[in-house]
Amino acid sequence: MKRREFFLSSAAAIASGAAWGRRADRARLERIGVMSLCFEPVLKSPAHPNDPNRKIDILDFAEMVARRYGIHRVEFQQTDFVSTEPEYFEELRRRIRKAKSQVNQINLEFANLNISARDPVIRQEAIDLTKSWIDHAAVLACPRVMVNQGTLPSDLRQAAIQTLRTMSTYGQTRNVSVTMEPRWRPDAVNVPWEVLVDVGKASGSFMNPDCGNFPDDPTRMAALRVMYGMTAGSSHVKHFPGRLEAPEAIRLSKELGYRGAYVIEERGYNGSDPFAGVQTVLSLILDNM
Amino acid sequence: MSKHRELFGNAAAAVASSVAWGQETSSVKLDRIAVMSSTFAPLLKGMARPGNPRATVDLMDLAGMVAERFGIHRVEFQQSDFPSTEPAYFEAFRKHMKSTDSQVSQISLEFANLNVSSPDQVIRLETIELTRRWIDYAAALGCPRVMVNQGDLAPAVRESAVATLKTINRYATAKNIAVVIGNRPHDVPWDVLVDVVRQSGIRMDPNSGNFADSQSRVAALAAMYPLTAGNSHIQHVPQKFDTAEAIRIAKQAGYQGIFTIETVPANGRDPAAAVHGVLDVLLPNI
Repeated sequence: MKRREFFLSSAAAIASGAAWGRRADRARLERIGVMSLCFEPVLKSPAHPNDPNRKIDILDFAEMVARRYGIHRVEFQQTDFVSTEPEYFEELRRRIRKAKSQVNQINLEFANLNISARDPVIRQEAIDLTKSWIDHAAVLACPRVMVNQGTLPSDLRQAAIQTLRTMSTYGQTRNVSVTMEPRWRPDAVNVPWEVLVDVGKASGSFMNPDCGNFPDDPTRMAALRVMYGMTAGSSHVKHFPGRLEAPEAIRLSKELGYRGAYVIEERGYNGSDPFAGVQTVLSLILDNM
Repeated sequence: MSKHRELFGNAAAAVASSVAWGQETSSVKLDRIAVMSSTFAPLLKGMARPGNPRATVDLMDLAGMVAERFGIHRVEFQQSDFPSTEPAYFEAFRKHMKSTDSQVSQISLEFANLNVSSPDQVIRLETIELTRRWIDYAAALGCPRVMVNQGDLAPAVRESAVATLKTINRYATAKNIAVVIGNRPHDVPWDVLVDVVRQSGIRMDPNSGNFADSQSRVAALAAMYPLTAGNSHIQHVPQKFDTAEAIRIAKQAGYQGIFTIETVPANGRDPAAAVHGVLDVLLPNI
């Protein structure tokens, strides 16, 4: 009997511990999102109609992410959507709701249109297209759109700020935040992070810190220290093993009191299998947040 | 004396009546004429023309200037003319138009790198999105038409271009705005344009000057005028085409719409003189 009691107590303790662990995990998972970009090679695409690897319909993306990872936040590129008709978005919204998920952010990458364009007509087109996507985001109950800031050259900076301010003002009327992320590529004209922060402040837009988009760790830590204080509740997490590792950035965000979402951006940095790569970054986030 | 006075009076009355009748006729005819803003591009202040000392006319004042100078109360704009697309700007613009009894007869959309013939679906979607935006702006301005750039309508993309135009047209119809395409120089064969218009449900904006030769122009205009949404472009290129002939074709087709003046370099460098030159051909022939 005693043995049974002991055994039952142990089992209860284990069960309780597991339940607590699940609850803790669930609370953590609520703060984690996944970008559709991670699964680009396996997403169905009108541009690659005969690719046998592309089996996931974007309409089913949220359901796949929820089932596989227990993650209920998904982030899209505007280029993911094959239609912008109201019926299409209604169906997308229905499926996302069915998966008990949320659209965390829509990232806008318009062909040749951004706030740093030298031609004011192009900047105006960037405003108009962004407004349209802010409207679509509102329909999808998505609280953020991220724009591409272009190169923000000094002679166009005021015009870019004005353009961004117009977008942000419109976003506010729809309850949608306009964000920008730091970008960095060794072969590109890169915007210094201080400039990006200044433009964000001057325009009333928000930061979407991306812990992988920096040339080196000291720059990254200096920038993230400022940027995590300027978010609209979302950030991107990349993990480059041995170079720019995710745990250090996550620890810094905690230290700074960041309470927003960590959205996984994995594009082959942790192996060629997107499913395994996302799992690797997910484990790192769960262990460190 | 009395007789003389009477005669004089009658003659004067007759002249006055004839002038009034002439004025009335002229006013009816002028009501069917519009001018494109691009005619005045060298004089227009604008975000795309900073620092040009000749650019002294604010876009807001263009309709007033056109009404005062030519008695024309319809102006066609390019979307790139507008320095802002904010509701407050368009509200002020609409008030300016109303104060001169003028109307925005059409807005021509020329988006950078975007058109319905793009092979890239993402670009076609962006074209739809931006066009919708401008359909809304046209509605806000009381403008009944937008003209889109059809691109090259190459055989490989024609089906998707037609589908894109259909999507745009469906939205426009809901807003009471007509979507049109025009024949352009060195562009798509005219019979392809006519087919695309028929398949997509949009309308045609015939341009009397954008043809390779007279023969194709006569055939094309006869097919295009019945497909309009009430607007056509008139280019006066006397060295190449008989403008009166184009107007006759329009009349034969029962066209009751607007003739919009699109001046060309051959009409001279002074925009006002160029418009007068085209008006002198239009008024006696419509």
